[in-house]
Amino acid sequence: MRPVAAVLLLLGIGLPASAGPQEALPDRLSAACRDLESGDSRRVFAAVQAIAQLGGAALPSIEARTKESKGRVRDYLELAAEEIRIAPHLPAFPAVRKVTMKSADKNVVELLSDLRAKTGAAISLENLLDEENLPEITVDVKDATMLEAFDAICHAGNVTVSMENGQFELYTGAYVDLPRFFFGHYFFRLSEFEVKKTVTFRKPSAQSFTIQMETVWDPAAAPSRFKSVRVVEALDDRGRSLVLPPADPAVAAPGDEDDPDAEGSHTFLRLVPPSPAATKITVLRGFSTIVLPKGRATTKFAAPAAGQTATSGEFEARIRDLDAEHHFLTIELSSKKQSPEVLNKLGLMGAVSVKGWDAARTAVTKTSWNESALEVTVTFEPMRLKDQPIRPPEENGAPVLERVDLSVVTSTQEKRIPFEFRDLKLK
Amino acid sequence: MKRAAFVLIAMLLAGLAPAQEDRRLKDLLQKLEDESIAVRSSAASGLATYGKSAIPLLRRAASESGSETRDRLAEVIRKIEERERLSALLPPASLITLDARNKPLREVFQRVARQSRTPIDLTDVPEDALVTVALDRVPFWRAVEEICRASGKVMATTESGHLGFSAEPYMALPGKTTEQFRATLQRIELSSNGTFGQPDRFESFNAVFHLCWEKGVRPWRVSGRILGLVDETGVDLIALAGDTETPVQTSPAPDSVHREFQLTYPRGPGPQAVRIGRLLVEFELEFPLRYAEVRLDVADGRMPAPGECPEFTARLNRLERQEASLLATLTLGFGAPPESEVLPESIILRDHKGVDHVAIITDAPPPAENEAVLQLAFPDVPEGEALKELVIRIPVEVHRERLEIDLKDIPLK
Repeated sequence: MRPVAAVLLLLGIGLPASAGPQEALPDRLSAACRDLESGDSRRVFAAVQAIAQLGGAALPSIEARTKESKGRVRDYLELAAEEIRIAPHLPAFPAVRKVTMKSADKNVVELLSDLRAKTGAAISLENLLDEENLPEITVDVKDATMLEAFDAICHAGNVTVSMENGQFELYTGAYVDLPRFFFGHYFFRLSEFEVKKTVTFRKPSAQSFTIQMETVWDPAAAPSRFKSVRVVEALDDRGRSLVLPPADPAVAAPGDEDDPDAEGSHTFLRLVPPSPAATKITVLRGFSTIVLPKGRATTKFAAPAAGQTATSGEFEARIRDLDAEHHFLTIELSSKKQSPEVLNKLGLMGAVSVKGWDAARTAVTKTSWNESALEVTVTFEPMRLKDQPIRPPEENGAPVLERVDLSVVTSTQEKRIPFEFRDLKLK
Repeated sequence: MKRAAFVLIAMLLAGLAPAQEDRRLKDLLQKLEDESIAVRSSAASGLATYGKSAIPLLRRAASESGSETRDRLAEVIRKIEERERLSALLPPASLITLDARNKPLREVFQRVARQSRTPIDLTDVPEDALVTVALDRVPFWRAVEEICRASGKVMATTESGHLGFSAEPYMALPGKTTEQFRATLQRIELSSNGTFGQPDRFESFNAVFHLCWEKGVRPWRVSGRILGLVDETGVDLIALAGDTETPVQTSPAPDSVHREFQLTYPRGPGPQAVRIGRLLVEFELEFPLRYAEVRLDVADGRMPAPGECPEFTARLNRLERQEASLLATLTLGFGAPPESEVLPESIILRDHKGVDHVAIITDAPPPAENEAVLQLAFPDVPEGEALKELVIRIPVEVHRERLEIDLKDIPLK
């Protein structure tokens, strides 16, 4: 039996300055702004969320305080104001719920089952069900987001989490205690870093420093794509600023382009190399801009089969091939108004329902287009989200598809997610 | 060998070669029978310098000789044939001669182009650049380098099938230029990697070389590897680790004139290093002098009977169309390990129009007991195309050219 792991996530912070609903708006804003100056990033981001919850009536006051502020406080006041402004555009965006869990006599599968029951989070335990003799672990989380609690349980149970096609994928063992930052439905973790010197002999040598950052998100708040990541402050322990000088604005405006370094949920932060004597990065903070689907046209196939067509508004989808045994479909998508080349630039999202399963991890890949249609491949992997923590009997034969939805994202809303890391050891 | 036979050969030669050559050949043939080993050996070497036009006469002389001399002549003929085959794949370097005083650089490179086999793209050579340079029978790559250095205005670059230039101040890159090859160190990358939360740090070294040859030089395969890496404090990183990396291998296109090599070593001096003490690199270019070949008749659409040659057997187990590609499974059996491994270029599907379709080897598990089972794809054979034969050619005699580059005190500024 593995030694019992313990993680205590004590969130004794609560809302900033114990703000209560009866307090006047200026007082609540002032209290939250005081917390924005805290060195404790958990308190800071609780304050950001508290300010955002003040709503539209507070916007003039927030804007006034933003003008008076500088640096980090100003950045986070602007972020809170943005959150207020975009909220009406994302009516279906799920609220961040807090969860409290305390246990010392359950294993990781039982605890994740409990978390799933408390939050409704789509967590498939399939990969963990074959593990025998899972140890009981200690978890104590208070007022945590679903992701904070999820990570605390996985940490204590030595379970690694990654994102696969927009859903969590869990693996037993090899949990690495990477630097993590949580904000609402999202968290970032830093994995690898690289300092590189390139010598071309023709001009002075160039040094670069990159950090790999991964985004993990609650599938209920899935982005349709990632845009640029911007680092606004980075310092090593020798006082060197690691922020690269701004790019030529004639080439690209920051935050205005898709992240060229992003590969799925991974991106690379490009920085100035630290001083040779530096042993750590004292602060690394910035924003990742994600794109959320605001409007979508969904073509729906009930009892899908090859040759079927479905329409939604201007869009028509036709199932060209369906290979349930190998878990994929090929769909031709066309539009009465837009060319296949334009369709290729739009976001696509898929959902597959499989008989006898709770959900399916689904990916939509654009494969090619001709003069009449864009061809996409929809792959799916059935998942159980409501099972008891025992492995169900093996299914035989090809899965039966009950429904396939292919959505075209017709309008989007950008959202900035902050990240802030401190004391990242380099040596 | 009977003396009468030599007289006969000498008489045959009389009408074909100038008198002086005739006398020399006659003399060498006679010396092949000398009592002194050194004289016989020297004569054989001398005969081997003749061209392929001498082969019929040497064969005739061999047929009329005793067994010992016949063997010596067979060896001479083999050497001449090998040299002839090699010169088709590795022709001698173009020798450049010119004398330019304050002449336009473009004009000078045009004169070089007229004396070489390698096309030259002058697009990026500045129109107003002048050069003064004198060259007398200088091998192509050395000539190019010398002209660039003398002008100070351009650097030579190589594209897929030609030489080009970039307009930038000239600087001598670390490397080596021989009669026929030029290897230049284009870039060094030193990196240090780590994972947050893990104590280990990994340092790696990457050297990017351009290896160039003249058009018409046709290596079958080129490989490169780092043999030595010493940091600025004198520590031999390869000796310290006790191993070298597997060579990087590549098969250049027939018309290419260069190949880029990224040679990596999983240990390095780190990004803080300001100098490399020593970098020793070896390139090897392989030129196949003789192939073993088996042809399998696939004209009637059925599985052909297995084919064989002295060096290997070939059996086609499957040939079927899947969507746009023709897929095949081929089993090769070797009596002894082949001289060179089977490369995609080794297997060609020839259609009735005479068009060759080169295979892509999609899967080649490690051979078991001298047998290799290859999964092949021919993606560019049009549907309905009438096929003729599957040709499998494997080099069984290979000439190798080695180029060792020993660079010391490389500054990393």
